[in-house]
Order: sequence, then C-alpha cells, then structure tokens
Amino acid sequence: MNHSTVVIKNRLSRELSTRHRRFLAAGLLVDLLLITALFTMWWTEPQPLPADTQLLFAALSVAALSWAAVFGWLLACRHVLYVRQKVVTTKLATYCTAAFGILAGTVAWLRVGALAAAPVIVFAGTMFVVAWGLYRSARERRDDLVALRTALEAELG
Amino acid sequence: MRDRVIADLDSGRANGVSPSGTRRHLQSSTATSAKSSGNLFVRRSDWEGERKASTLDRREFEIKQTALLVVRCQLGEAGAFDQLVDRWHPLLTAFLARQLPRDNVDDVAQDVWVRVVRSLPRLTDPLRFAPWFWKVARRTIADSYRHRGPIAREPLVSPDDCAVYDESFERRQDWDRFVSELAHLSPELRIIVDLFYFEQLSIDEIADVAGVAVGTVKSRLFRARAALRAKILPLVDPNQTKGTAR
Repeated sequence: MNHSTVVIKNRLSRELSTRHRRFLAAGLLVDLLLITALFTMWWTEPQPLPADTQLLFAALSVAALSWAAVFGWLLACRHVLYVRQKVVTTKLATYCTAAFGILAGTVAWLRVGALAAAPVIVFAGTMFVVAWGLYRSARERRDDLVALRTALEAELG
Repeated sequence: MRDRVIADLDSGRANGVSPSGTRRHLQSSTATSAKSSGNLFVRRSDWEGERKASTLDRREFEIKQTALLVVRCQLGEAGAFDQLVDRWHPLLTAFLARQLPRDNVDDVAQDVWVRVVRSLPRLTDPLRFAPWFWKVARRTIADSYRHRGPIAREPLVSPDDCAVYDESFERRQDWDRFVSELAHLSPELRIIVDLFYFEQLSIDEIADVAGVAVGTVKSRLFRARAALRAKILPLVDPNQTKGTAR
C-alpha cells in the first residue's frame, strides 16, 4: 500500500465517521421535535399572545427551521447516511414522531379543543407519515442491496 | 468489441490496463502484422479472437467483484471502503497522471474520493460503477481546471507516476513515447482516448462520462487516433507515414 492510498484512507475515515453521522442525525431529530413542540405551543395558545411574545416565537421558529435545514443539508450532501444508517435513523424518527405527535395532539386537544387543535394534529401526522415513508424506502433499498449482494456472492463463489 | 490495444510501437508489443487492473498483452507476431498493415490502433480481439471469450468473462467477473464491493459500501460496511480504495486508487492516480500535471494529481484524487464517498448512496446500479466513477473523476478534473486557475497545458506525467506503467509496456521508451504524444492531445481528446483504450469503456459509456453525444465521441476518437498515428507511426516505421485507423 503506497503513501497516497494511506492518505486517502485517512481522509475518508474522517469523511465516513459514524460518530459524526450519529451526531447529525440526532441533532436533526431533536430539532424537528423542537419545531413540533414550538408550533404546538404557539398554535394552541387559548388567548391571543402579545406582539413581543409572537415575535419571540417567530424568531425561535426561524432558528429551529434553519438548524433543521443545516442538519438536513449536511446529511444529504456532506456526511451522507448509508443504507443501514438510514434504516436505523428513519426507524428512530418514526417512533419519535409517533410518540411526540400523540403527545402534542393530546395536549392541544385538551387545551383548545378538537377543532383548534387540528393544525397541530395535521402537522404531527404529516411528520409521522414522512418519517414512516422514509423508513419504508430505506428498508426497501436495504433489502434490494442485500438481495443483490447475496446474488453476487453466489455468482462469484 | 470491447478489447483494445493502445498502440503498436516499435517493440511490437504494447498493453493496456482494464479498470480492474487486468494486464493486456499483445502477441508479437500479430502486433507486427498490424504494424505492417499500417494499423496503429487495433482491437485486441481482432488478433486474439480465441481469447476474447475468456477475456470478456474475466471483465464481467471483475465488474461483478467491484459491484459487490460497491453494494457493501452502500450498505455501510466500513471495511468495504478500504477495499474499494485499494482496488481503484492506483487506477485513479494513473488516470489523473495522464490528464493533469503531477503536482495536482494527489489533490484531485482526494477530491474525487470525497465526492465518491458522498455520492455513492445515490448510485442506483452498482454494476455501472466504472462509468460513474470516471464521470466523477472527469467532473473533478474540470472543476480543478476552473478553481485552480491556468495550469501547465501538458501533463507532467512520467512512467513513475502511472501505476499502469511497469507491466503495461515492455519497454520504458515505448511508454514514454506514447505518453508524451498523448500529452500533446487537447484535454477533450486525451480523456476520450484514455477512457477508450486504458479504462476500456464503451462508446456509449464514454459519451455518458464525457457528457457529449455518441457521434462526438466517435469523431474525437477518430481525430485523436489520426493525431497519434501521425506522430507515432513515423517513429515506428519511418517508411510508413500514413496508416488507417479502425
């Protein structure tokens, strides 16, 4: 193995760092849950909020959405998740969005009633459906790749 | 026909290297007859037909071996990346050394690998890894031309820079001559010749890699052959200044 190959491997080991990916995936998940909580509180407030409080909520929402965009971009373009990592991450996201959606929907229902809680329930439901769809897609891709690997291994002996 | 010969030089023997490192050896007698007929560029299967089937089998085997590695990488097996680098990095550096000045090769190779690692999950057909990989390399080379400003027009390649050198040309002077003439081609012709003769891609694959039409690939290949033939053939056989490219 020549020097150049070793340099490349070292460079790629940083690029492929699982720890870094876990951190980014966890960051994205926490941020999405934070957004859900923030919107739940904001939309289910029974009384009209003062202007400065609304401004604060808006600022927090923009910050949380920006972080979600950054984490999403990093995971999509820089430290991409490979199939098995995607399966784990999306499974976790599905569970978290389901649990958090139920919690947020219940809180909203109790605070402002079914009709006013509808946007929160729709938002939480959408988050869950997206997470579940990504999980299904990741699983299908993993199954395809495992099948292809098995076929190639059998063919190559 | 998939098999090619790079050039039939005065040694009567020349080789190319397949994407997975398969050495190709010309038989002296057939090479001599090709030379005498004025065909500087001949396909290996034209004169080595009996070995064509086994060569294709071997090529298919290598494609599948690479595909298996790629699948393992896409699944996220860390060790698979090391194996992929072991297998493809020497070919990449040889390719880059034929395209770029020596000083740029390592930096561009690093850029190529980073892009490969980042884009690999999006590769839908692992069996088509080779054209996809060379496409990434070509784009990285184009970016390096854009970002690093003007660089020496001719690659400062030497046989020692190219992993393919030692076993692929019997005599160093043949390799030196071929590489020096290759370096005089324009970048767009050089990359077509490289992908066709060294990396063994089909015309369709080259068109995909280079991002041009199939007809453009054919015409560039024709022009490159004509240019190389005009330069090299008089050195091989001073009495023969013209030949026909196939």
